[in-house]
Order: sequence, then C-alpha cells, then structure tokens
Amino acid sequence: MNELDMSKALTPIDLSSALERIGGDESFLYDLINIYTEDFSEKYSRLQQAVENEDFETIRELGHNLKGSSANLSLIHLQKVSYDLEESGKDRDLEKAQKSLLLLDQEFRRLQDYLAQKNNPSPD
Amino acid sequence: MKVLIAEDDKVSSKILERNIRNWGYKVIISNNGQQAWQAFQKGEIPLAILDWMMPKIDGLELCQRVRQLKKDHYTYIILLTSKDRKEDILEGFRAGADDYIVKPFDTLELRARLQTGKRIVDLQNQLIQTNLKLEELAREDSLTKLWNRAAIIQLLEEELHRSQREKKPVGTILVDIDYFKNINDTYGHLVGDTVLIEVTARLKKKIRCYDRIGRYGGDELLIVLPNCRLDEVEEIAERLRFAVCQKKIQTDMGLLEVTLSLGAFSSEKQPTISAENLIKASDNALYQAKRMGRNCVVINKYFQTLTQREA
Repeated sequence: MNELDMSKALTPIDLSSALERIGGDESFLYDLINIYTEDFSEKYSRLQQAVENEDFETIRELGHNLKGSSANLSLIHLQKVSYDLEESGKDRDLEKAQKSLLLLDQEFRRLQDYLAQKNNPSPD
Repeated sequence: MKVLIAEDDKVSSKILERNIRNWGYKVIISNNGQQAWQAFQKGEIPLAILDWMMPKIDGLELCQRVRQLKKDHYTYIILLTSKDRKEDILEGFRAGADDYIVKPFDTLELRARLQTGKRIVDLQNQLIQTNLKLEELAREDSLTKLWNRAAIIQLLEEELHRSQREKKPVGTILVDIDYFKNINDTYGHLVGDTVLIEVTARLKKKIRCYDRIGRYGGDELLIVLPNCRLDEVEEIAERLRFAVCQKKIQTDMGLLEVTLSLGAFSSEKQPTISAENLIKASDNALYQAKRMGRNCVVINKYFQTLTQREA
C-alpha cells in the first residue's frame, strides 16, 4: 500500500481530537468546518492563480495558512498537503506545487464527501 | 480580564474566542496585525495572544511595538505559532514575548498559560499600585520642605492613636495665607513661592519642637500639635499669626505685607475623634476666620459644644 492509499483508508478528520480542542461541542465544530470551507474556496482559487504565476511567496504563505487552520480542525491529510505546498513555495519547486495543489483539491473533496455522508447516512 | 486575540486564521480565531470567553475573560478580536495595533494604542490590554504569521504587521513586530509603547500597565504577550523551531522561539522572546504556544494548541495548556499570564499581570498591577502609593507617601513637599499632604495626614493619625492611648489631647491648626492667590496673580508664582517659603520658615520657628507642619493644600498648611489643649492651641495659633503679620516679607517685588487666617481645634473634649473630623473642625474654624475678616485665629466652637453635650 503506498502513501496515498494509506491516506484514503483513513478518515479525513480526526473527530475526537478536534472535538476535544473545542470542548466537545459538535455543532460548534460544524460551524468551524463551514468557516473553513468558505475560507478554503477563497484560498484555493488564489493558490491556483499563484501556481499559474509561479508566485512562490504566495504559495508558501497560503500553504502555511491552510496548514494552520487544517491542524486546528484535525484535518490531518489537508494539513499534510498544505505543509507540502508551503514547502514547495519555500523550495520554489513548481512541480511539487502543482502536484500538491491537485492533492489539496482531492483531499478537500474527500472531506466534503465524508461530511455529506455523515449528515445523510445511506439507509443500509 | 481582557484578552486581545490577533489571528488572521478564522478557524483558529473562533476556537480561541470561544474557549477564552468560556473561561471568563473578555475577548477583543483582531483579524490582522494592523487592527490589533490600533487596539493596543487605544486602551489597556493586559493579556494578548498574537499569531506569529500575519500579513503586514506580524506577531513578532506587534510584540516589539507594544513593548516600545510607554504604558502604565503591563501587557502579557503569548505568541501563537506553528513554528516550533528553537531559534524562532528565541526570536519571539527577544522581541518581548512572555510565552508562546504552538499551533494546533492544546486547550488545557492554553488555559493554564493564560492563567499564568493573568497572575503575572495581577502581580504587575499590584506593583504599580504600590509604587503609586509610595510616590504619594514620599513624604516631603519639594517647595517648602514640609511634610506633604499624605505624610502630614498620616502623622496626625499616628499622633491621634498615641494620644488616645495616653489620654492626651491633640491640637490641629489649619493655616491659610490671606489673599495668596492675589499675590500669585499680581507678582507671579516665584514671588508666591518666596512668600510661602518665608511663612513656613517663620512658623517653624514658633512651633514647639515636637509639633509637625505639612503642606495640606496649595497655600494651606496643617500643623499637628501633640498634647495640646484648646487654650494652648489657641495661644500657639495666635503666636503664629503674629509672627507673620508683624514684619513684612522681603521679595523680588519689594516688601509685602502678608497675614494669616488660622482655624484651630483640639481633641481635648472629644478624645475619640477621627483625624478626618479633627481636620474638618479646623477647616470650619478657618472658614470662620476668613469670614471674620482674615488675619485672625478662630477656635472651633461647634465641636466644642457638641463635645460638652455628649459629655
């Protein structure tokens, strides 16, 4: 099993640690995830722009930001990919930046799927 | 206690706000360094949590700026950082941070660190209060070299306690230089100062060696006279009045005729009187002396009759 398969096998959010951080209030956690989601969309489009323009400073900065908010919500995989993005900005590594951006999108979708499923569990 | 949060990451900011509010602090939110800096300049902020990475003004610079602000209170600063490299932490401390916490932070740890901060701020405030008190109690009035207001009141209180124990009366005289404001207005403050200094010098010569003089207000002097009955306090007050009016005072603007109004009282017939009421009684008498045309001594009769009635 390679690294990617491993990450797929795990849930995108470490719920128990996220809940512990905010005192166990689940509805507050979903409020936070909504804030995160809004914020993410805005940052993602700026990241796309930055990768296109090879603006490594912005990639580093946004990667760093996303890493922080992902970590706060225990979004372990998004945190990891954001870290890679930050590093790619630091190293001015365009290929790594492009690859990480793609993974970032995948991980975010995975989170959304996971949340959707959690809110509307299938009848079986 | 107020906590300022400066954090551009909305999720982190929300978590901080929620937790810190739940712990009973008042929370001020800034979404960037600029906003936080304005808040710092505006009012007292005892505790601050600053994110290291913020656009424009980052936590580190904010920290340095806050430390350069001349303020009469302390701000305890916790830097919030996702960096945990040793050199960064050292840089934070050099910039003036008191503590740091690494993101994603542990809630219990943050709470404990805030409590530490609150404790330091409380201690600091106590220290500031004590210093203010000490300053107030720095006992000498710089112009007249007499006891200052706080000191003379404290001396009176101490004297009153001792006298009550020894069952002896304490006398107080409030002295006011007549038309002192006119002297200042007509001849200037330097001449006013000369008059004040000469008056205090003459008074010092005429009181007993164990009497104390303090500067009670602008041109009001309070004299504390241990073991002094009403008739004695009146006699001394009269001696003081005469010492000033009998001879003109030499100033840069020539010889000036200066007179005093004096209000006197003694705890003789009211041994349990408070220092505050002793001064009040003298002040009432002084007011009477002013009304009677100045350059005279008045002994407070009101408190006297009150005492007799009580007895």
